[in-house]
Amino acid sequence: MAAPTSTSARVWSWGLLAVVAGLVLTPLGALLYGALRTHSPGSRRATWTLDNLQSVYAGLFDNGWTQSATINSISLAVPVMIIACGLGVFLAWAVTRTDVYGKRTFEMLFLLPMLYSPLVGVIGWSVLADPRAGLLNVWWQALTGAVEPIINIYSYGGIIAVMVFYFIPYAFILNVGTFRAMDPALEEAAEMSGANLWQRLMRITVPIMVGSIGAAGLFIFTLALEQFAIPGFLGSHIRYDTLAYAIYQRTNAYPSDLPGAAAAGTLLLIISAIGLYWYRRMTRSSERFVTVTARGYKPAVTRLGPLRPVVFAVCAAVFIVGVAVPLGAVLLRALIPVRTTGLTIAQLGLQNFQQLFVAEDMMLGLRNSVYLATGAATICAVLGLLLAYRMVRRKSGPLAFADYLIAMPIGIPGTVFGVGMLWAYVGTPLYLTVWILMLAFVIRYLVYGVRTTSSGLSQIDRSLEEAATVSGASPLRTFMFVNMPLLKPVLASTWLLIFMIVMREISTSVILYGVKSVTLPILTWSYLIDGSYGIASALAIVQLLIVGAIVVVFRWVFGADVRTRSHD
Amino acid sequence: MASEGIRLTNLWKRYGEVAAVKGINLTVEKGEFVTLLGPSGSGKTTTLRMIAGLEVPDEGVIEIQGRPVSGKGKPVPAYKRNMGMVFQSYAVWPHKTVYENIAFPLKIKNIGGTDERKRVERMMELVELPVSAYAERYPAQLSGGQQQRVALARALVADPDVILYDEPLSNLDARLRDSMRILLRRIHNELNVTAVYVTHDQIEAMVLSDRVCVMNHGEIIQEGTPRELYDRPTHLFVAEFVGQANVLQVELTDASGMLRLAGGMGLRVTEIGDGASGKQRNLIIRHHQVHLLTADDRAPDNVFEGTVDEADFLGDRVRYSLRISENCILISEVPARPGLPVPGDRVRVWLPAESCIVI
Repeated sequence: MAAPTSTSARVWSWGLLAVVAGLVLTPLGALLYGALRTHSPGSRRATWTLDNLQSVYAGLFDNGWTQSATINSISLAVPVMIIACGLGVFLAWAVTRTDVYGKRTFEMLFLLPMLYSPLVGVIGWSVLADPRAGLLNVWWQALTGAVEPIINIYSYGGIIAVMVFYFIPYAFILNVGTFRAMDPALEEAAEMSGANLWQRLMRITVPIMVGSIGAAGLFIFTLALEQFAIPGFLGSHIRYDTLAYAIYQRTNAYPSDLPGAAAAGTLLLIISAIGLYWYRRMTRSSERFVTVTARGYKPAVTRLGPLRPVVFAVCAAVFIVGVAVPLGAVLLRALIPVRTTGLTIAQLGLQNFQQLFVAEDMMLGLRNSVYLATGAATICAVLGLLLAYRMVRRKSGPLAFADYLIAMPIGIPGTVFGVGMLWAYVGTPLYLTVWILMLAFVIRYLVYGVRTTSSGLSQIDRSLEEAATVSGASPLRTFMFVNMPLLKPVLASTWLLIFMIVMREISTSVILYGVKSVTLPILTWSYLIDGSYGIASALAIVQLLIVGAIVVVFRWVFGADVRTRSHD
Repeated sequence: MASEGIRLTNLWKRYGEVAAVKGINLTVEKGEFVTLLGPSGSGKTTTLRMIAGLEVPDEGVIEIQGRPVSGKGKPVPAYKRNMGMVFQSYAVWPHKTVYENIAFPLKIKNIGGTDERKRVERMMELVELPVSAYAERYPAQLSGGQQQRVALARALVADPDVILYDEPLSNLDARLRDSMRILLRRIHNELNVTAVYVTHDQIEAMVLSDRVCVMNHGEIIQEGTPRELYDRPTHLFVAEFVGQANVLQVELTDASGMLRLAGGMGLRVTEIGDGASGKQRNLIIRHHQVHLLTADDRAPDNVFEGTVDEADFLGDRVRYSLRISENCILISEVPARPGLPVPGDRVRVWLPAESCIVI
C-alpha cells in the first residue's frame, strides 16, 4: 500500500505539520511563558521570575491560594465522576440490554443535555432551589410554615447534583456503544450456568465493561475538573472556588493577574493530564475485553421481570429530575417578566424575549454565536476532511505526529486554553475580536473534524476508489464522486457536533471575549451574575431552540447523528 | 415417564405479526441426541432458546424430565433450569481464565475446593484441553476451536439435565469442524446427556444425531433417523435439503407403480408414497443413483437414451448434466475412472426402480 512519496507530497506533509504545530504549540508555549513573567503582557517592567510558579505549587502545601481551590476542584470532580458514571452506566445498560419500557425514547431523552449549555442546570436549579427565593423553597415554606428552606442548591451537595446531571449524558454515550458491542451470549452463557440477574451483572457484565466504565469515569473527571460555569456560579454564593474558576477570577478581577492565571493553568493542566493518561490506558484495556464480531447480534435482552417497573422508574426519575425539571424551570422563569415570589398564569408573558431582541448587545451576541459556530464547524469539517484524507490514505511520519498534536488541545482545560491564547495573541489585532475566538475554537475542535472523518474514511474500502480510477476518473473526480457521497453523513455529523459545542462554549470564551465579541453563553453568564434570571433564562432557551432546530434539520436532511462523536 | 428428557407441546412464538415457531410438538428421550435442522429463519434457534428459557413462548408447554418449566404455572427462569448451552459465538468470558470459565457454574452452585478442581479437570480432559497447558490461559490466547472446547466443558461441568447447542461449529473452519463433530459425538456417548442441537449443516446433523427434525417456516416438516430422512423423504423440501437430488415432475398412470415423465416416457418404481393425492407427483432420485451404462451393460428397466451436456471433474467423482429429452435434464455423479463419456457423447442412463422416490 505504500504510495510512492513524491517531493511534493513530502513538502505537503511537512508543511501541514508545521502549521499544526504552530497553531497548537503557540498557546501552550505562551502559557508557560506567561507563568514565568512578573507582569501582564505589554508591561515595560515585565521580567522573568519563578515567583508565580512557586506560589502556585508551594502554595499547594503552604496554605496558598491554589490549595483550597485544588482541593475543592478534586473533591467535586471525584464524587461527580463516581455518581455520574454509575448512573450513566446504569442507564446505558437499561436502554441497550434490558426490556425496560420506552428504551428508544429514553435513549433520545438522556442525550438532551448535550444540546444545551451547563448554564441551563445552573439557572433552573437556582430558580427552584435558591435558599431564599427558590420556587420549591417558597412553596415548601408556604405549605408547611417551615422557616428553613428544604433544598439549598448553593451548597457542596447542590453543586455536585447539578454537575452530575450535566455529565450523565457523557457517561451514557460513552458506554452505550460498548454495551451494544458486547456479545449478549456472554450474559446468556452465565444465565445458563445458573447465575441470576445480580450474579450476572456483578460477575460477568461489570467486569467485562470495567475498561469502558473506567475510561468514561476518567473522561468525566477531566471534564468536571475544567467545568467552569456550574461550580463557578453556584459556588460563588458560598465562596467555594474551584481551580478553573480561580483562574477566571485572576483574569477578570481588577487589577488582573495574568501571570498568576497562567501559573495556576499549568497546575490544572497537569492534574487533567494525569486523568487523561489513565483514560487512554483504560480505553486500550476496554478494547481488549469487548469482542466485536462481524455478525450482527440479535437484539437479545435481559428480561427484568418484577424489576421492570423499578428500572423504568429510575430511568424516568433521572430524566425528570435531571432534565425536565430544570429545563421547565428555565422556561417558566423566562416567561416571568419580573422577579416575583407569587406566581399566577396571568403574569406569564414574552417580555423577556421581546427585551432580548431589542437590546443591541443581545443581537450582537446572537450573531457572534451563530457566526462562530457556523464558521468553526465549517472550517473544522473541511480542514478535518483534508487532513484525514491525507492521513488515512498515505501514512507518513510528519502526518502521524500532526495527528498526535491535533488531539492535544482538547485535553487542555477550557479556561487554561483561554489563558494560553490570551498570552499568545494579546499583542496582535486579533485580541478582543471574534477572530481570536474563532481561532481558539478551530484549534480546540479540529480533532473532532479529523477523527470522525478519518474513521469514516477508513471504512470506505480502497477498492472503491481504485474502481473509479481504473474507470478513468482523475483523483479529484474520484474524491468528489466516490468519497464525498459516502462521507456526507459523517461530515454532517462532524459539523453538527462542533456547531453544538461552540454554541454552548463558555470556559474559553469567558477568558477571551471583548465588548464586540460577546456570545450567547457569555451574555447568559453575565445576566446570571447580575441576577437577571429572566433574561438569562430567555437567552438559554434561544440557544437551545437554535441548536435543537439545527439538529432536527440535519437529522432530516443528512441523517447526521450526534452520537457518532469521537471520544478522544 | 422417567425416560422422557424434553417434551414440547404446541409451542408458539410470534414476533409482532410474524410467527417464528408455529405449534411445535416434540419429545426427546432421556440421553437422546436430537438435531433441529433447517435454513435460517426456520425457527430452529427460537425453539432452542425457548427450551433454554432465553425466550418466552407465546403458547404451549415445555416440560423437562416431566417437570413443566413453561406454560403451566410460573415459568422457571433460565438460570434455574439446570441446563448447559454452547453458543455459536463461544461466549467464553474474556476476563476469566479457562479454569475460571469452566468452574463458574460450580461456583454458582457453591461447589468449591477439591470437588470443583476435580470436576473442572475431568471436563478439560474430556474436551482434550491439557490442564497443565491451558488452565491458566485467557480466552484471548486461545484459537476458536479451543474456545469452543472451553464453552463445551463449561456447559457440561455442572451435570445438566439437558445440553443445548446453538450452531456451535458454524464459526469454525472446515477441517476443525470435522474433528469437533467427532469429539461432540464421543462426549455424548460417554456422558449421555439429553442433547438438542441446532444447525443448518446437514452433514453435522447426519453425523451427530440419533434423530433429526427438519424445520422450515416455523414447523417440523419431517423427523426421523438420518437414514430415514435421506432414503425416505416425505417432502420435497426434505429431499432437497438433506442430500442432493434430482426432482422431476411425473404423472401417475396406474396404481401398480407406472409413471409418465414430462417427455411422455414411461417409468417403473417399486413404491409410491402416500404423502400426496392426485396424479401429479414429484420423482426424486439422488445424484449418485443415476447410473451411466456402458454398451454391454444390461438393466431390467428404466433405461433412457441421452446426451452429455456438461461434465465437471470433482476429483473423486464426475458430475454430469444429462439431457434425456427436450426439457428433462438429470444430474448424475459417478466415481471418476478412465474412459468416461465427454460432452456431446450419447449415453444410456439407468434409474433403478428401487432408488426412485415418488412423493
